[in-house]
Amino acid sequence: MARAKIKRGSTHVDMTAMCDVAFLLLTFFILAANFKPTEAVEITTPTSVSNTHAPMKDAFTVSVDKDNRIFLNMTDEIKGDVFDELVQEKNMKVTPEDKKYFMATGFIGVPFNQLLQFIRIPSDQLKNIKLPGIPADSTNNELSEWIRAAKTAGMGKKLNFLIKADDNTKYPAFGKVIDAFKKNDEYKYNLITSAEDVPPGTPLYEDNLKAQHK
Amino acid sequence: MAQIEESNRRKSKKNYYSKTLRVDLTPMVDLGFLLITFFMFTTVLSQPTIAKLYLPKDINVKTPIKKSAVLTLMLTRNDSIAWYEGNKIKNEPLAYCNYNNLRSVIQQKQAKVAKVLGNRSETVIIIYPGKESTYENFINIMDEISINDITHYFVMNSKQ
Repeated sequence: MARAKIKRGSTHVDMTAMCDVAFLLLTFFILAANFKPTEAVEITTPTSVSNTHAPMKDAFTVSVDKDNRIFLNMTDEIKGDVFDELVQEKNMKVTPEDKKYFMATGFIGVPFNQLLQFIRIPSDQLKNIKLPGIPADSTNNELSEWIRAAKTAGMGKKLNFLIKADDNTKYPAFGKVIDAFKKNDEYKYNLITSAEDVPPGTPLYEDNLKAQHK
Repeated sequence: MAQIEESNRRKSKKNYYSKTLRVDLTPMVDLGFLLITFFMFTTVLSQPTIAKLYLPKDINVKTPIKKSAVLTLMLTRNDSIAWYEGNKIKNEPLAYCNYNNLRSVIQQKQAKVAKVLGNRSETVIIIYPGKESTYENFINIMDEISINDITHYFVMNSKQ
């Protein structure tokens, strides 16, 4: 007696289509990702209940690390203008090459007198150097001069002044940054934080709920 | 019979393979999805938020406020807050709280203000960030202010 024949189908699934989808999504996420610019130093920002996203255009960011040193970075749109303005104001002798180096640096973390040497340091070596930071004392307030240069250079644009400080930054260091801004008649700041949930049952929570239903 | 069939099948299979080249794409798909997962997580996490801070000009203008509506918070070292209501009475010991029970302190004050002045939003908070307080402390206070919908607050310079 012959046994009933069971047709054995192959279990091999054609993966080509799935592979296509996977890589399509991968490409999308790679392109959509905005990579972090070179960070001066590691800064852990505190959390806040604010849910506004940080502006990425025309941003002038002052960072304060946990050792209370002050660093500066700017987005590329305003960087060149700020440099020109500063050179003019301080009567510095610079070459076009200097400007090229300046445009390539991710952040500034030294006083003016070391600036030209500083911008020539390759970015991978910066981690090993103990940077002094930008002085912002009442006698030598270079931060204030940077802000003034940025304000003059960015005339007509709406500059976003961001302040990024570490959890463990002491308040007086943050106060110095605020004072430097106040000297230049700038009173609106954006403090960079990471998101945190609003505790339920509080007035802000209910406001947010109402805003959502509208 | 079976043997012959087997050999026949193998032969045909061999021919089949020599004609079309079939690559197993499973590992490639695995890799693709692994990378997708990675990029998904990193894109979401790298979005920082901002807390807006608007400060007034430093001018010598005296703002009249009701003493009974005032709650003064002094940020001190080791994440603790010293607080008092209204005017500071000499030799009266300060009350201390930390950032976890600060909300109840503020809410109690708001309830008191609502009872005396009729409106909760009359509450005024004065903040003295001390020399030893950290930026995180300050952000926490600003958070509590927005969480509890405080509309009047002052940040004092820490020149004590």
